[in-house]
Amino acid sequence: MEGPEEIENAALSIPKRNISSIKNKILRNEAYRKLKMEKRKAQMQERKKRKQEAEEMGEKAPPKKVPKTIENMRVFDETMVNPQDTEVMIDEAQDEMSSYFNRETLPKILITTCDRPCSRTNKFCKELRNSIPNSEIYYRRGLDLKKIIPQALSRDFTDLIVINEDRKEPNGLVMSHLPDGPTAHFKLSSLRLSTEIRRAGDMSQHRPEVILNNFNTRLGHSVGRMLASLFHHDPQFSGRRVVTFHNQRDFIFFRHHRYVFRNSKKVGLKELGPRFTLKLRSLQKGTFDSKFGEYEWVHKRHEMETSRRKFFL
Amino acid sequence: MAAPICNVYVGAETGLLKGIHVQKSNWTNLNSVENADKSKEIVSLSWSDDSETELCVGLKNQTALLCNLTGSQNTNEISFDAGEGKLRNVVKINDKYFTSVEAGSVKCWQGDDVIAQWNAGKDLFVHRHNPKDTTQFVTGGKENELKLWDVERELTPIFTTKNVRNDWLNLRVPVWVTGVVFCRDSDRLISCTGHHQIRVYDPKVQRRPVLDFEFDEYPITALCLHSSDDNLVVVGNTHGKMGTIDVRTGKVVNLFKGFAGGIRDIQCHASEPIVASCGLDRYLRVHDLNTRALLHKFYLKSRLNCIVLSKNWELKNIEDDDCKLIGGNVTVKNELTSDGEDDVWDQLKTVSTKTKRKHQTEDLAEKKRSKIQRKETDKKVSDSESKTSKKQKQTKKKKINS
Repeated sequence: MEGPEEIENAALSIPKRNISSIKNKILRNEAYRKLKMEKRKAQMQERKKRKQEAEEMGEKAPPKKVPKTIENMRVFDETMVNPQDTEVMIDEAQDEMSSYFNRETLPKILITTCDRPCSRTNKFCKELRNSIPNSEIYYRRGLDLKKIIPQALSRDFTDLIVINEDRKEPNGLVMSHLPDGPTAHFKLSSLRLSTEIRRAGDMSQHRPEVILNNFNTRLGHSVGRMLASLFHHDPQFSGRRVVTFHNQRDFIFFRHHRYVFRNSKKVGLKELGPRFTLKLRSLQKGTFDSKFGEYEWVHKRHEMETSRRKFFL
Repeated sequence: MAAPICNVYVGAETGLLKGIHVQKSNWTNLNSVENADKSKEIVSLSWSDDSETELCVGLKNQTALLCNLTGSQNTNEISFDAGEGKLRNVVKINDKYFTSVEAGSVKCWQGDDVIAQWNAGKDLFVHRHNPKDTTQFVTGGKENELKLWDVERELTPIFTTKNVRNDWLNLRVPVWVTGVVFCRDSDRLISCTGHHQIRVYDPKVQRRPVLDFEFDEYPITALCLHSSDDNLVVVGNTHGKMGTIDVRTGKVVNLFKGFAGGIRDIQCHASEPIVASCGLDRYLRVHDLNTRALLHKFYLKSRLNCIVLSKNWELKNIEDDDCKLIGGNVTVKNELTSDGEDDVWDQLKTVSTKTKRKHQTEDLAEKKRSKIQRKETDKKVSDSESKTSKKQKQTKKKKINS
């Protein structure tokens, strides 16, 4: 009854045998290798073809597709700061960090730790002191932070940094701007000291340049301003030192480099100081007061983390 | 220029007064942005009279702005020499102004003259007038017990509260009043403290609180009476936690969600089941008091200090909401009644769209065709089978015979 053509069609429509159903391991591996090769070939051909087409079409070629990432699919945030927004500008011009940005105060930083810090925390503090100019380390001596703050104020410190640790590993950073706040509490993670970085360079005494990336929301602006106010206004460009605070998906990456001009076109980077990651836990108005202070922003894990594509900084 | 119609007014830390039309979801700054100054921070907001045509805005630098919201949008500025420190509150009652400052002096002004003056004690945090009887007001603060004053009596308060008994370690419990409300149908006072307590005082019974309980573990900064129920209060703390609390039992009835920063002020609407709150996270949020759903939120760009709601809320979406609710009920009923499977299939049919129907009809036609074909082939097969079976039988018989 059925013609030969129909039989052929039926043969074509039968799907290929699934490789995983081959019982013999050697055969199966061979089959898999072949399949993989075929796929790769097809892919390469496709890519070649697309490239050729794009070359032929010249300017008319369709634009290259941008891969979808979590960052570029970010949930719309209405607090994103528009640089022309006068209200935000005026608000920022009168905030607590404004005296630094008006060049009225010079940054002077006090670095301290939790009580009885372990050696790693101490080393980290020393490296932090080297990377932030005009900063001093004081031993905590079991003092309350609320008692340290008036003392620091009387000695004209403008910022207070406290490194906290857990199980001999630094894991928290409290940064308080003096004299009247704000205070930021960060989670500190993936710390690498300069001794642990391969081929790390030696630090110089020059004042570094500061790069702040992607602090775009209103909250990000305040945090960025706080971080910027740790460093001197005028970097010494001859030192070619750069400190970077790069924000990506709410994680702030701290990197410290020296750049080298290899020739007129090439620039090289040498990593210097510590390398660590910060994540904002809370931003509090006023100097450190975790009990009675008013919080401007608190990260509430389950309430706020509704989407992987929602970011706050 | 006519004033923009708004039903919520919010005072910001930058000295900007913001008018919001919640239903239209738009907002404007009522004073010019260029002149924003933190020394003119808005610390208090209230209506000058019951007609709600004029707002009395208290600024940090001891001045009051009277904003006329009808027709000509003019503002009068009155500066007071209210005393030392930051201004806490300005209230206009029958052409008299009551001012209070952080250092504790409360003054009553008529024109430029001080008519009366009270010393309410250091570190004043609260100064609030009784909405039922405006001759009474209450003050309180840090290490400053709650005091109820009469406008007529200057020297001594009518009622002074007494601190609660020492705790189980026999230590004195610190005092820090951060907010007070007057109950509507009784003389009771409800206060909240910086040590996260909520206390109910009854001047007729005793000086110590009648009820005392705690909410969360951070200072309570805002307090408001529930719009319909006198036994419920809405409180908010510095950590951005807001909830309604039953004053009889001290239990949390509702918790509202969506806050990122500390809450500065909460206002419940007089007639609608709606609560508006603002704070350091620069958002104005409007929640439903009963369902605790977040109805609206506005990013207002500055840290916000105080709210005032107007009485005519004009909720247009009430009908829509009702419809939705009724619809939801109906579907639930359907689910409950439909026990048999047939009903479910009936429902599915009605749901299907046109395109699907086409598809279905095609499928059906194909099925019919295939059925017919199958029947035909079956017949043939059965015929042939019957023949073969006959043959087999015959052979069997033969075998048996042989």
